[in-house]
Amino acid sequence: MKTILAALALTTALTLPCVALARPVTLTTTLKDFGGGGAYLAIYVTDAKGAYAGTLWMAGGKARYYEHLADWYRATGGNTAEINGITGASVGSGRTLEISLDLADALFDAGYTVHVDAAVEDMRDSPNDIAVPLTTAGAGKSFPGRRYVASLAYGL
Amino acid sequence: MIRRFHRWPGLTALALLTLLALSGAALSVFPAADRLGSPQANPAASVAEVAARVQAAIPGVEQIRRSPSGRITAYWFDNGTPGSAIVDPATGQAVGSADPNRVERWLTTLHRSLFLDDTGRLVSAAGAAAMLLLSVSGILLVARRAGGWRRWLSPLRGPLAGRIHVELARGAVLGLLLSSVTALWMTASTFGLLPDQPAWSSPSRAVPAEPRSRPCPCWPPRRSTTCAS
Repeated sequence: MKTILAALALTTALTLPCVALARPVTLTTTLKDFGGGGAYLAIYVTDAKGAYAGTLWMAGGKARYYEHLADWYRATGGNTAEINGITGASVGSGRTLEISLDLADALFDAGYTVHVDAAVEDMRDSPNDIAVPLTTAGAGKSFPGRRYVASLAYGL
Repeated sequence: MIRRFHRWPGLTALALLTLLALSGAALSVFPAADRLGSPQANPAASVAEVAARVQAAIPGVEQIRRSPSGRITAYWFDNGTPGSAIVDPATGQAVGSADPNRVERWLTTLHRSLFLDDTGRLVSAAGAAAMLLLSVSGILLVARRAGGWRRWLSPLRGPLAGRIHVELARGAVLGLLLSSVTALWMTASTFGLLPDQPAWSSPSRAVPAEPRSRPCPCWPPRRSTTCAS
């Protein structure tokens, strides 16, 4: 009984702050009308030093094409354990991908940046198509992308 | 017995094979058009000369590729924005968009997956397998009808429709065998059954590295719902 209580106290102490200090975020990525097949998108976060922190979403199911998401692939080594349970279909030309997730407060206003790498079959790869710093002031704003991403916005 | 292997695949796959044949015939025009429409390199020019010209015209050039049609494409970054274009090897200047033609893309998707993604790829592959079976059984039937392998190309007797069918098939069967075998090969490649490279023709720059550690014990974030519309 004592061990169970102790274990419970320990796990609660570890998990509770995270739950309490996280906020629901909706990340909306709208693609341009580029006219090709479905775009593969890797949505990931880097820290203030530019080092890879973690992946938020992978749109596109075939792992053999992930190397075309060059910056994500370089950071993760293409390790599919990074995207277990967070993959979905590739996103068509002109379509919108909306992800709802709980992001830790510690990620905001601390130099963390959301990146999207994009790739389309037989078209130019676009690593780091968009990079948006995570700030509370930037919430709700729409940021323009470079080649395939028309805009990215995160709502708190 | 052989006749059955010719009749039933032929009847069941008729509509599918007609669709695949028409879309394939339309697609076959594009590589020829590519060859005629893109500026060809002077055979005497060295790779270094062409690369230097492209480098001078496009300072941020990252990669230059030559396709089997002789088309030369340059890939570059301009302040982080990726770009690509067909270049004229004589001047190094960009002369046109490197993105695939929309009609060609639409036909390609129809031809290889019938707009049904992996399900459609399997259906198309089944069509190719039916074509292979029809070709092989047809070769055997012609030998039987003509009275032996040595007379495989001899003149035919019998009803006109049957004669026309065999005459056309004699001319087409090698191409049909090649088409169906390469179709099955490409399907096997797409589904990762062959030890080859990914089929996307755009170049990849990725160099794998070790994953880094997580910044926060709260990673990964909890996801509630996702939807793509």
